[in-house]
Amino acid sequence: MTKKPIRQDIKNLSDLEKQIKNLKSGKKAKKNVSTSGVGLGMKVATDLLAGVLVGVFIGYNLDSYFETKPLWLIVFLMFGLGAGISNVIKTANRLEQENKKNKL
Amino acid sequence: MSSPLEQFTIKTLVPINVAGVDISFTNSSLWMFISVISAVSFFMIATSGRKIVPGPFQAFAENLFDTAGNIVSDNIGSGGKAFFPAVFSLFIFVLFGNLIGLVPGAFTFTSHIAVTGAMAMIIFSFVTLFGIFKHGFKFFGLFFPSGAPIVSAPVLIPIEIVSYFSRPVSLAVRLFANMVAGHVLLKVIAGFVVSLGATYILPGIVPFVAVVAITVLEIMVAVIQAYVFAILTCVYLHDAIHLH
Repeated sequence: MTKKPIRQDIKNLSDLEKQIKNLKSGKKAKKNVSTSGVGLGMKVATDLLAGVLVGVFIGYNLDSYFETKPLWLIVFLMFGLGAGISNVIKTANRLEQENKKNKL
Repeated sequence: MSSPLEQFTIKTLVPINVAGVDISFTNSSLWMFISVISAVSFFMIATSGRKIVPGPFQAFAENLFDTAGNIVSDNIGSGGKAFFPAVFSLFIFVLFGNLIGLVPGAFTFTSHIAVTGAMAMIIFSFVTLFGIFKHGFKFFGLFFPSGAPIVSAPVLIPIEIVSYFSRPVSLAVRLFANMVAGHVLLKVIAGFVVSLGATYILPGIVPFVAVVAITVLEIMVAVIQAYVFAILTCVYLHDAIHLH
């Protein structure tokens, strides 16, 4: 981040207000960048896993309820995999939006 | 030598039994009390001075407050102010639980999936009920991404439903797995210090240095996981308030 000069030529109050706003937004943008890589990696990994786990759980219980042993397990395993990947895509999209916001 | 998993055993301190349900006061409950009391007393001491130029404690408390405030305003956006107290308390509870658990001899209550799972379920049910209460039937539009072709509904809707139910699971598993993995690692490597250093002092120094380094890493993980827990709570709240 380029350092903004604290005092440009301030002619009137609205200029000063703009200056304060500029400085404030700069400070906020700096804080947002500090999202940690370790936390993000763990989040993506568990999101992927949790989708599969929930899919298997639902499928297994439907199977033991209807006594159709492998059918629902397979179907919901597929849905679970899809859910896990959809979770990861959502995280990636949100991260990209955040990065875009910070750059502006 | 004791097992590295021994530190996670629940011990009943005061047995209480109400109508056949075991609600005993355990070491887990004790450390929850300790972390709540230390969090409350920390903030009371830190904010007792209320100086314009803050001292070290007050500056730290203000920073924590600011961090939680930023989490709420960045992730929920409009209408998020009402949830600040809840998110802040949750953040501080998990943060203090993680950090106090790192003190040797202490019990880490966040290392039990019963605890993290209960917190995740409370958040999940609250967010779901709030969403249904606020948006009515439109809330279920969350399960079908806007703009997708209607033909894909039989595949997309189950995927989105499973994805929605995977939220509390991933929230609970992440915190619990991080805490268990960190504490087991610390215990195992600390065990090497004793077994290697028992005969000659010198080889024991290597795992000792590693333990010191991992302790620093664990402090970082404790803070990050509390932070992530709070962020995700806000993200889920955001989805319930703004839908798409």
